[in-house]
Amino acid sequence: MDFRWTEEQELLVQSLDELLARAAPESLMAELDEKHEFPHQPWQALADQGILSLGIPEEYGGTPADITTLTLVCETLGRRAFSLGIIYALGVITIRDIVQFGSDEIKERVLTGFVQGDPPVALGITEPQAGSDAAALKATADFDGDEVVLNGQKMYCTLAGQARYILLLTRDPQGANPYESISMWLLPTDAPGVRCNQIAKVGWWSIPSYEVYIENARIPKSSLVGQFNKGWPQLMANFEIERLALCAASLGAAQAAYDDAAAYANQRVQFGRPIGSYQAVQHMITDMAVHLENMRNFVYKVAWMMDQGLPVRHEHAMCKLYVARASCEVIDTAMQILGGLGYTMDHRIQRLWRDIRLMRIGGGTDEIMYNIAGPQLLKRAGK
Amino acid sequence: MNIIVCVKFTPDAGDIQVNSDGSISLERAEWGIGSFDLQAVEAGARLAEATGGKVMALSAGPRQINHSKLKKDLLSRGPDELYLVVDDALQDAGTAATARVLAGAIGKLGPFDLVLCGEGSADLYFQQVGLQLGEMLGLPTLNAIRKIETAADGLRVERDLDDEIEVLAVPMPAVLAVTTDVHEPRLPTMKEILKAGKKPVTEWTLADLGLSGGLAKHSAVVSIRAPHQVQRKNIRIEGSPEEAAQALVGYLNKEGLI
Amino acid sequence: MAEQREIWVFSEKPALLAELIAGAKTLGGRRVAAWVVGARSSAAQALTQGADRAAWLGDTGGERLVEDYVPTLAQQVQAGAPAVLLIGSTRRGRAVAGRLAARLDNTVLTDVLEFQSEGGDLLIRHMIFGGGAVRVEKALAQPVIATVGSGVFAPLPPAAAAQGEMVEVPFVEPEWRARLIERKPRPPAAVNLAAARKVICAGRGLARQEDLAMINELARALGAEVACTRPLAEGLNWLPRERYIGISGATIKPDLYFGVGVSGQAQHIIGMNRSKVVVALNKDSSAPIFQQADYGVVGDLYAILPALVQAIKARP
Repeated sequence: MDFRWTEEQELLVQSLDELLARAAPESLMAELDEKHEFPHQPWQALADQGILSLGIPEEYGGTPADITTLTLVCETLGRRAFSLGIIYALGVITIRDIVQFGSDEIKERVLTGFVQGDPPVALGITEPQAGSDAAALKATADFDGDEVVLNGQKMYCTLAGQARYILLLTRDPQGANPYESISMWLLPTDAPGVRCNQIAKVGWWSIPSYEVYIENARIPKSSLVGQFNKGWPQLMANFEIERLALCAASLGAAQAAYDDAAAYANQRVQFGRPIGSYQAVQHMITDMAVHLENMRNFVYKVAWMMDQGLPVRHEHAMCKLYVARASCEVIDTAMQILGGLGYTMDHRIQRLWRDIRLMRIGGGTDEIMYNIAGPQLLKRAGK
Repeated sequence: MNIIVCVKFTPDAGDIQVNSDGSISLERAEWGIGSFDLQAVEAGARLAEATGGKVMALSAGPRQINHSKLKKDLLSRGPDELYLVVDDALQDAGTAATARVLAGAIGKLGPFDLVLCGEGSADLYFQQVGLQLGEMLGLPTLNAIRKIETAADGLRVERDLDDEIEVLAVPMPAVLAVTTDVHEPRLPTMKEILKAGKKPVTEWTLADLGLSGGLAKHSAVVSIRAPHQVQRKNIRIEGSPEEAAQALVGYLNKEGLI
Repeated sequence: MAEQREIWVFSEKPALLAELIAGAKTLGGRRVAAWVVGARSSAAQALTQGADRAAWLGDTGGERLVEDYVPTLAQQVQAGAPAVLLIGSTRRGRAVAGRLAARLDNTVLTDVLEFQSEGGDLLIRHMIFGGGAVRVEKALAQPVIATVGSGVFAPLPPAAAAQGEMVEVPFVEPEWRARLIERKPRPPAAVNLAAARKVICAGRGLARQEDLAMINELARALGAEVACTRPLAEGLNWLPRERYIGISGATIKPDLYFGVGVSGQAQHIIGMNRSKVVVALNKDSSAPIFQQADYGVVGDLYAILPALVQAIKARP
């Protein structure tokens, strides 16, 4: 089994690492976080280096890339600038949905701009009464001649305030089966009738989330993405890769926290010795390293399986379940090792600690991951 | 313009290991493109892009340079083609011998307008090969070049000297050794990294260049050792910022520095 | 016959030429010939600085570059067969040395720090690996062509009267010339780091250019000059190049060197490790600079610098 990266992948990580050191240094990311500002300049730097072009068809300025390479990019972003990794991962599902299901006109409108540095398309799915139970969404789309009139209220719509478009999910209330009544629309955020209210969160300060109120917003009916009433299976098609991307970014963040903690353990002297010489800390460090090893193996195995065209229905859910929890644990333990310093706003661990917690909730909660994996596992065991 | 850029692949001098007896080892060092050569590559790439030509990268060295990742790294930064002279006899070749080999290789390349070199290699930094190479080729040769522009009658260059800047008109073909100011080297994009592996690479031995008779040796290395270290007090000052500041002020006072 | 072979020295900088003359005289009792490009009076001056004879190549007024004299020098070296040719290590000096060596099927031993005679052989010492190692080599070529930087040799006190002959050397037209369009003066260096007795050196531990204000304040409080590591001058352009200390920048020997946020890479250390007292402040306790420091503070420079300035100012 060859676990090595290809030379192209190594060179890419080297190049990206150097780019991030220049364009997204820790001091800048800390500042943007404290000011609750979207990282416009670093995001543009990623665009200028061609990082945003990965996985997008060449006719829109894209660069073909396999999922393993994409995963590597997410991990590297997560390690150097976690918020950039999250933003990138959030865009994976919406951009891929557009690539796979969008009309030529929609692709032209969205993809060229994204490759050149537009923020990702926001995903408008969750509503006050529809979180894990996403199919309970109530937003509606009514045909009126050549236009469609949209109404509804979306919740936790991340980056709606920065994005040019929201990929909006609506449901036909008359449909017998909710999973066959959902449709996907490309809604410009500056359309009349669209109003965003920012939500204050514990973390993800550079990655704002919004309540979005949509009142009789009109879009041409050609803004339908894919097929009418086929929105749910379309959405499901790219949930797996989005979760994988979030896992990769989380892995990167956990690695960064570990690096900080290990360096500190070697350096912080108490009772006349570096704290890393005490067994308690050595045990913590080892547990963290074991988690990192497991996370890395799991993430890249799922990526490999997807590149091979193998189904990852329960594997990806197990991966997200494990990585979300393990990265929270690694980062929390890192804070413990850093002690008082880790709890101050001067050190980045507080930002990682606040930001990582959402991974167990967003992109599919731990509980939903159990719901996906559990029955699948038993079905396989029952054969 | 067709441009030849000479590049040296070197072990990373930061990975140097000092043994207890003071001897040096670079065995565990990773090889990479010389940091001063990256600017030359960038200057060549930009000139070729501006004038519609091609960049031929050229390097000579022992077998360690014939590494797939090194070649791709270089080819992802602008060159269109790569030529390598690989021969272990080049392991500790002096600057004159290296220049002779590069001149021989250049003789086998097609027509060119410009040869670019970095100011010096990343490991030895003798700042000689570009100058010696140009003279061996019988071409106009200048070092300390910080700016290159095309002009009607050749090239317009700025030469960064200790006390002044010379602005010169240089006929082509010419050989120029460039400073680090000439251009910030680009970071390879994903597209370029993926294309790198498909660009043509030509490999020669010294015999291919008619140099199998051996390389001239103008000096013999007697020893390479870590420099003598001044023994320092290594006193650590700890405590809160105020405590550390007070302690340091105390020491500076004792040393008669304030 | 061999004992009658001379040592020739060349530099377009009169001060460096004087150093080379003095150095040449330490190399085994040979006659020293100074080769001069510039004003004729510089050639006469060389005779008061210890040269046994002086050869004036010509001036570089108008359009002649120093490098235009390479064919002239080559012809003279072939005819005169010196044992050693020392060339001042400046950018121009290196260009002359390299091109000359190639014409003579020879090479250049660069930036020599020390010459040693062993038996009948000449050994030289110079730095490699960015200051990480010292290499000793035995010169095999004839003549031995070497470049020597300023500060290796000290010039002799000038003699009251010039002794020795001066000749004018006929110019050999070079095969090609770069046409001089303009000479742009460089603004004179705002700082002379080599002369500063105390130096505060800023490194990459500083997050922003604005943070240099703290460094400046400390420098003022201590009566020190401000310097930096190479990335701050060449990459970030926060400070002019004259202020960076390192193997390709300035080399200093002050009474106090205080590195703030400096990690201590070999290339930088080599520029300051002859300082009398070294103080280092860095948040990373494994930074290599601490091995080179007399006094090391591991901590946050943003907290410690203000406290230090206050402590200094608070002294009676």
